[in-house]
Amino acid sequence: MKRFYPPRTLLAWLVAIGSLGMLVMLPILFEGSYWQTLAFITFLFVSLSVSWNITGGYAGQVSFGHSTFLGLGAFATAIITLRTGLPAPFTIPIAGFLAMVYGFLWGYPTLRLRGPYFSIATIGVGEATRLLMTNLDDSLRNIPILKELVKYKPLTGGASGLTLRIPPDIQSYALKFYYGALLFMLGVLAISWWIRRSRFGLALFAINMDPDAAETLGVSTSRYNVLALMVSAFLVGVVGSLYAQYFFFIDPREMFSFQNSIAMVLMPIIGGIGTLWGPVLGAVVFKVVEDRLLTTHLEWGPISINFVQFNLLLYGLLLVLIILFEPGGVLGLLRRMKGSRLLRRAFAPARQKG
Amino acid sequence: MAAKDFVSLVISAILTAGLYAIMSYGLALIYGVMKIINLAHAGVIMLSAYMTFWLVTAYHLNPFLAPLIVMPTFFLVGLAMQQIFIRPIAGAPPISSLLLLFGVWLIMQNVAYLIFSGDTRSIFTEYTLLTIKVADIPLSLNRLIVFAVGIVVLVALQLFLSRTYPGRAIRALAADSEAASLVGINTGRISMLAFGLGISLASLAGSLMSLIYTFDPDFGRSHLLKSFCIVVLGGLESIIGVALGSLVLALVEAFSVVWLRAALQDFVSFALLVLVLLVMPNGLIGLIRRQTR
Amino acid sequence: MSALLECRDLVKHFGGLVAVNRVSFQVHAGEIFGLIGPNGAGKTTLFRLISGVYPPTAGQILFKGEKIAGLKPHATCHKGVVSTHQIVRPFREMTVRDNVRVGAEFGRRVDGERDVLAWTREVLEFTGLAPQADKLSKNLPLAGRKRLEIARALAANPELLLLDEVVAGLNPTETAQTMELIRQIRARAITIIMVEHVMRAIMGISDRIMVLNYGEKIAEGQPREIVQNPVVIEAYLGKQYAG
Repeated sequence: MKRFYPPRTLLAWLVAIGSLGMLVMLPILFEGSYWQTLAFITFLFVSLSVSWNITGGYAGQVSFGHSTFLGLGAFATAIITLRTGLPAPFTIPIAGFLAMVYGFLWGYPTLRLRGPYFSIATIGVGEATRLLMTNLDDSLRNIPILKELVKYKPLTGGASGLTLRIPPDIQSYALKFYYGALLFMLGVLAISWWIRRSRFGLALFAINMDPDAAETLGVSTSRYNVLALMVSAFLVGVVGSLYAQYFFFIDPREMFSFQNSIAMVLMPIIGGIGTLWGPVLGAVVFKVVEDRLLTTHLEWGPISINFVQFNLLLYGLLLVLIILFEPGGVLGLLRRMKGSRLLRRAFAPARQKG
Repeated sequence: MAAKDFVSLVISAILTAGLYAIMSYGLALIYGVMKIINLAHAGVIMLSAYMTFWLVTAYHLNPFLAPLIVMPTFFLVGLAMQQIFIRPIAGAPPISSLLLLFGVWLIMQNVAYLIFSGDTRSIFTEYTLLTIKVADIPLSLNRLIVFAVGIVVLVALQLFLSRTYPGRAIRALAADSEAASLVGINTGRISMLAFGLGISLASLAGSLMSLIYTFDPDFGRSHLLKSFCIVVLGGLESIIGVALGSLVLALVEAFSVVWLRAALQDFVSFALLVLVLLVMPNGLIGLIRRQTR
Repeated sequence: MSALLECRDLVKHFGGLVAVNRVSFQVHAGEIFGLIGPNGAGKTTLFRLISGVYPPTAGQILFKGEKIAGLKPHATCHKGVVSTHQIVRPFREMTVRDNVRVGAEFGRRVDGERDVLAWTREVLEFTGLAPQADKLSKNLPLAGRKRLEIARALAANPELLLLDEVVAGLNPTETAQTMELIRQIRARAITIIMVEHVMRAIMGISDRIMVLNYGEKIAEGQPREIVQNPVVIEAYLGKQYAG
């Protein structure tokens, strides 16, 4: 297994410190700006991408059901703060924990399925969860014992969603979350980096490359697969919680959407599945392209083109091209480009089965 | 529940099952022969619905004749897809083809958004509101005709698979690809044929569904999952298995409405899919065999 | 002397097919036990039953007097039964060293925790793979991959090693080297069961041999007895050659 090592050359260190410094300075230079929000949401998406990669990239279990964790984390925070008055930041570990428990609940049975069957089952889990959560309040109203749960306050709010209380000083609130999300993203990266180097990571890569061989050598494939999913679920749950706290409004149809699950599959694959930096690169490209396209309007007389969809079209195309020509994703492509010793050194080769 | 309601639920389920059988057989054929899970299935169902819509509104074609144009078109689309996407990655791990076809689905879906926008469409024909009464139970003429078309195609397919050389080659390939190539079957060409047929069946399902349901570019996702559920339930061995799986799913869905909100109807099929994957990997037929041995 | 491994009336059905039918045998500590039979005789299925890939339909498997039938492969590995695969399956994108490390990290634990990296190095030295330790395993030639398959299994620290056709496809020199390696493994007090098609190799090295045909045991004994056994000759060569 080729491993990633932290940038060793002076130049690489400088680049790393420089970009980190820029991210730290950004809210000070452009206070409360559009860029700050874009950077914040990019931190969240990088975290999602890197977290998904632990299951999908390292262990090779491609999950289309990760929006369940995102939604659960967001709603755990919203419901707990709205009902108990507990300050939202304190609900972060609870949100992560609940997502992790849910990961165990559906991961334990479905991870017995191999490869594509697991993927299909996760689509089923994701869609079933989305429908259940969207209709939760209305369904509970018809059940005598559980009716009390939604008598005074909504749980997921159904089609109208949930709204959190907006704090008075929104500027400094947003700033705190900016740095919080930045720190969290670095934490997720550190976890991902540590897993690659650890015994745990060795097990996951072995399972990815050949589950049967791993099993005969003493690797409990079911245990490590479930553990990987739980770690991933916890981190995604925390992202959900941060999202809810920053944007104040969450809608179950949106949070649990298939689109969110798709985004988590696409970002790491586009960047370079199974690597440390690939998912980061993928998420940044994903968010920036989406943002540019969202703010572009094109009107030709009566025809106006909806660029929101153009974004996913582009990613569908990229996905197809990547599988056909460069399974290593954008990182693999960069690595192929000759004469860039620094790149070759800073980025581990994309480790991909094919 | 009154007896009449019960009967009408069962009849409605059978009519739905006919439609389900067609779309599932499209998925099963491709999986059986090439061991590929065609996630673009959903995209094909959706695009063929739009094509039918276009034929009916722009050319005033009789909607029940639309499959005569839609099916051959998508057969060719399937052949092209197989050549462009599937052949180059033969031998790659199965997850590659799944992701690739997922990408194709994303492309189809978003091209549809660009061309047709996200508005919900429906096809209104002179048959849409017609019902006939059989023993006091009202039946939608539209759905009856759709069911009949479906049955005719399934019977034709069964004849093709059992009576013709390419059909038998497809079945041989599904049963054992190695043995099939040993006895001189051109596996490449037969795979292409199977893929074309599978896509063509999905397009038939989409075309017929567009006459019953409303649709938008996101149409087909739940049908993909339902098809998969049916294939796992019914196994890949026979049209009978697929028909049985379709009937089971349609009945479960129909009767779930009695206890669950209508919005949760799909929940039942998704939950059933996960359950079926987990507890009976060999499908209904496997389960029956295990019980009787 | 009690048996290290004992199989009693093992049966395995696949659908209607009987792959292994009421097979019983014992393997003693320290011996090399050969397993032969025509194609489709059930040798690999028997291995997979012992290593836990399939649960048996009926029958019992005892390892050091303890029931192991029905355990998952990773659990039988922890008990001390490790198998190699007939078709070599290294973790292709890992280095040779990391391949061996998987066995060392997750295999059977020994008393007084040993250093995993030191143990990995020792196994690499022992199997002669040390010079290639940092190559990606997919870049090894067939002989190297086969050797890696053995090395990985050894790293998991087995008491009983199941070798499935480890010399198939090798040239005579490589075959001789592998046989030498197997002798050295036995010298480390590891018991070996091996399946092999290369008759000369297996006859020369095995202490005892069991013959399977159509899932049933048709003979067991020392190599000398086996080659003269008319039932075995008939199974291999057809009726007309049997004396």
